[in-house]
Amino acid sequence: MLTEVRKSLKLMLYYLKFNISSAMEYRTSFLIQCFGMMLNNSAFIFFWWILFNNVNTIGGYTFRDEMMLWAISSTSFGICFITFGNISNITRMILNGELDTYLLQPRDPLMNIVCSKTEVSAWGDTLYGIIMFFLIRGFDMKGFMLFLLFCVTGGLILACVRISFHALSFYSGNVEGLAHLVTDFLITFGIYPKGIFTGVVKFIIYTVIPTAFIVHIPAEIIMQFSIVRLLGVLAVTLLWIVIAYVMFYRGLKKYESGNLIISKL
Amino acid sequence: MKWYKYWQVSKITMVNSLVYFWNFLSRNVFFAFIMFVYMMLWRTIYAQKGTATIGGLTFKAMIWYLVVTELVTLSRTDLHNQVNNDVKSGNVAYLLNKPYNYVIYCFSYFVGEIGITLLSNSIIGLAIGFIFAGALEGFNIMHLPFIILSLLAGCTINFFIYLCLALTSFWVEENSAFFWIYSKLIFTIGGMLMPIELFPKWLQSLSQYMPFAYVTYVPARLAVDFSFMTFWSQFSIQLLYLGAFFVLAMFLYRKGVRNLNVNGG
Repeated sequence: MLTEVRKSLKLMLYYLKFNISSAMEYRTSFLIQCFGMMLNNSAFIFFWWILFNNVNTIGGYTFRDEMMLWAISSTSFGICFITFGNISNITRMILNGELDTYLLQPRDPLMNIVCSKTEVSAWGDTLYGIIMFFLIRGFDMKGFMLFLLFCVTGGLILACVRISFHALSFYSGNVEGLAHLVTDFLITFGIYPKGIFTGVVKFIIYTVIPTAFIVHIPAEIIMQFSIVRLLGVLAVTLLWIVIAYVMFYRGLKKYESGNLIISKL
Repeated sequence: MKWYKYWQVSKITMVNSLVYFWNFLSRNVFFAFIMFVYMMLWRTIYAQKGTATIGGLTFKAMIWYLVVTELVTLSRTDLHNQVNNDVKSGNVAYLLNKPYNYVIYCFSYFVGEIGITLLSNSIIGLAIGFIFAGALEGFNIMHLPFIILSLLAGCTINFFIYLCLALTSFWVEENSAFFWIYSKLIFTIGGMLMPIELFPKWLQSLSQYMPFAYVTYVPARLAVDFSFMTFWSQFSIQLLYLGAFFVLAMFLYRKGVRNLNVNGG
């Protein structure tokens, strides 16, 4: 089991290295996309700045708390899309019978599939979140270590929820629209104060769309450390990894090859 | 006869759009979702502030304002991506000898698609407005045709700005950052996320001189607070911007085609 995990992590690192070299091939394009995305995200500072000029707190959050949500959301999203950039294509690959190449290779197919692509603009999201963190907290190294840990757990939960929804394609055909919507939900819930969500929505962000564990609770732990809540976030991350693996491999038994001849270099 | 071919393009696009009905429906789910989040956000803000109006709008009017701004933003085509690809791939060379004007062809395509998206989004928008906010106080149905005119002008200005940005691909290889930045300008100083009355005074006057407010803010403000004086003054500026961006698109296309250099065939 541990050997398998080590092998998978090694594969992930190789893909990451390869994808970075590939992105760097077109350096100007990389820089434009990266800084363009940072500028794109900055527009929302303006929105919140105007809102907080009108009220002191929204749902118990101050402007700084809100920007912390943005920092964690942005870097988690960035880590997810840099490392697991091929998740968005899972449904299409299942429907077109394009998984054969991955199934024949001597590595964990799920890891092999999701890591085989990267999203260049996600580097801009990652950097944006880090810069935002330092702007809010200054050089708080303990806080920064926690921030990095939560961005990794956030990126993993985000990836696992998306994989789980894409894996539904094994059972019920094209669920691409649903998977995209889930990604939108995950991102949108994470960039608004938790205090505005009540009733059913509050239940949803703790369960099916676990944004509370990706963004809100980590932000609270950075502001006020709690070991119990930290362990809670780690446990939920592990749970979603298990769910994604079970959903994908159970579904894979129903997979039908399309006899499509493709080469993967 | 000259315009008949463009009418046919619009008709074919309209029929094609109806085929992808589920795609439109998934966009509408996002529309409903984002409006639900806005409703929760603004409900909290109004409760926090404890005043009946913010930026001169009641809570109901604010929700209807946001319904209209979202309606304009979501009712756009992704044709600019196609134009981008046509120019980058050199496919535009095959379009040069076709018996139509490329810019008007794109506009006909837009008319065909917008007909369906605007209709389906309007139905959903009305449902959302009535469910989330209820009927708007003091709304006069006689004003509706004028509001629709302003809405259509906003959508068309938005289309021509996107087209101009797409046509920059004749000179700039990687222009996706332009689209992100433009969409964020619409979000912010275009008044998509909130009415520009909430901005500081200097920014309000700046916004009034930019084209972005005429895409989203003007039709939305007319929908919730109509007066014929405002309509005639704002709608005439919308028409001016519309003409200006149409001329700019024609100019960019003609100049770009002269610079075009396609290798192979």
